[in-house]
Amino acid sequence: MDNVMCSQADKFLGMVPYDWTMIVIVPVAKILFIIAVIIGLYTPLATLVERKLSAAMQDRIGPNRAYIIKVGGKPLTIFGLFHTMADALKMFTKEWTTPKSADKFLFYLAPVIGLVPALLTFAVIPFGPPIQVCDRVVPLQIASINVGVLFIFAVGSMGVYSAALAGWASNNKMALLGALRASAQSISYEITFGLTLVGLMMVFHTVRLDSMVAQQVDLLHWGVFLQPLALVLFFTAAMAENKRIPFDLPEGESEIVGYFVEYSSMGFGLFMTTEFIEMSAIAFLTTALFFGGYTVPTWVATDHSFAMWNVASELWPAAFFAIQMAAFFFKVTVLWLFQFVVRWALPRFRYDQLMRLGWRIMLPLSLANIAVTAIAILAADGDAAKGTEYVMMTGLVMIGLFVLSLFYSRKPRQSGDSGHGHDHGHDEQQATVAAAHH
Amino acid sequence: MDVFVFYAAAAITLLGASMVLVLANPLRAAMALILSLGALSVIYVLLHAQFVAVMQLLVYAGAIIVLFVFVIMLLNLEDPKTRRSWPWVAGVFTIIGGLSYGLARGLMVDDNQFITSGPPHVNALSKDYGTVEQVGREIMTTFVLPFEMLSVLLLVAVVGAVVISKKRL
Repeated sequence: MDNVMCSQADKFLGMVPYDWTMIVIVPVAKILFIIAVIIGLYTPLATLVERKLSAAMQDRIGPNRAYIIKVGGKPLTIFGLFHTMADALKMFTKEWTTPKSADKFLFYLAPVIGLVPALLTFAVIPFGPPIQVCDRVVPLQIASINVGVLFIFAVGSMGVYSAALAGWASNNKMALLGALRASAQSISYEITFGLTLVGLMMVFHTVRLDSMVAQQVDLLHWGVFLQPLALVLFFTAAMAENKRIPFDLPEGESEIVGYFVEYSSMGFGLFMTTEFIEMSAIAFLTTALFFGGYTVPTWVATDHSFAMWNVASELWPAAFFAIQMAAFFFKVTVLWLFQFVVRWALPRFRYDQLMRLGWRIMLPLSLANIAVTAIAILAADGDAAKGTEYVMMTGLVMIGLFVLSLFYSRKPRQSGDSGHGHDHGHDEQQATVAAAHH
Repeated sequence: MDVFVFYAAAAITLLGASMVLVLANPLRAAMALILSLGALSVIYVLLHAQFVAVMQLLVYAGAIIVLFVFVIMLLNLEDPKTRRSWPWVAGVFTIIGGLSYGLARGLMVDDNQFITSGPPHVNALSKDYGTVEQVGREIMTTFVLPFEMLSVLLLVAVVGAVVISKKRL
């Protein structure tokens, strides 16, 4: 900002005490920005992307009819963009019904309890580089707190109450079953979710997200290269926490409709909104932790390229800032879209498969990741460059072992004699067939 | 500012705690307990114990109460209206609570100082007091033996749970 504007702003801000600028005005501006991006942009777009992307993947056209005005006699549809508005309007105008025997207070509370932690997650994620406004440096992160990532775990673990309360308060057997499944699933995957990041904390020597991002300036120090296995486990666990396909056992509509079976209108809409907000939260968090946040990769970390970036950032700070913001939201959008692709590419797990994946595969792997990372850091003996090298090498080895274990765990199915409980559904089927023969 | 936050958090903590005792519906009581724990973690932040505050939310509100809720949902308790109420339980706990508050107040040398300037000696504390780094360092150096013993205790509990729940291993 130029000096004239600064002096004007100072004159205006001079009326309020200095503390109020940093404590109230700046954070409120950042909160409004995040809410505008998440609730105003990503969430409405998610409803459209969900339908358009699935259509593309299934060789359909998808929604393309809704329009408000006609241009030259033809309806203006803009790739079905108005379906977003139609969906929202439909949600708001449907009848809100409450079961007679429901626990009214908890029934209304449940969707809200889900929404709040999902939004709170964004409070500690840095979404841009620190900017200089006049004589003040403003970090583009709502709250830079000492506990950093742990805060996300703490508020994230509150989300389970939403499903549990919704299922219980509905006073419906199906909803209760869905709630039980949701709680069990959340607890199981929360452990992996937390443990995967311990390796990252060890590598970066911090739990603060802004500090983690600042250390990922060089492409080779991105979390994805230092902790590749952690990325795979983290993303899987996060998606399991979000309870979308293939992890949507709590709402498997073909067996039980799920914990929100009794919710109609915007009550259901809030659960859906929470799900979409959590998707952007996962994308934001993964970008900040594993993909360098707002940093722009300089590819090779030579002094030359760094110097060029530094010159560029000094000559055109505004342009450099814009590039960094664009880089952040580009990474976020790619990871966000990836979740939709996964959702439409994979079928739903069986419940025993889900639990086996969580407890027998992902939990031991995340523990192994911590142990191996610790050994690598210890072997480097305090040498930072060597430590990075060791961690990267072991990371590659871990990924290789992970892929191998995936192939190994896919045992060929034996015909006739079913194995010792390797595949429950298969066993049951065989048992039924045998019973029918008798 | 801190004083107002403290009084608000303390009021919510007490409100939640008393609701746990008063509410007949077990799930509502569990929710009140979460409210109480959440407000308590705010008090921890005011006491410069940021790590403890987050752990309070993560472990108690996030994991232990989830298990409570889980059990309540599975047990399918009978209608709370027909359940026999125990008014003397609330009475006994009120007396115990009152006595312990009185004891704490009596032991406090100058409780005005506590309210106006935070916990005693807070200004003498180093800047990273209560942070993740500091707590981690203390656990791994000064208190490493108790910490490891607690880990073993938890391990024993896990093994015990497996033995009890699985008749045939």
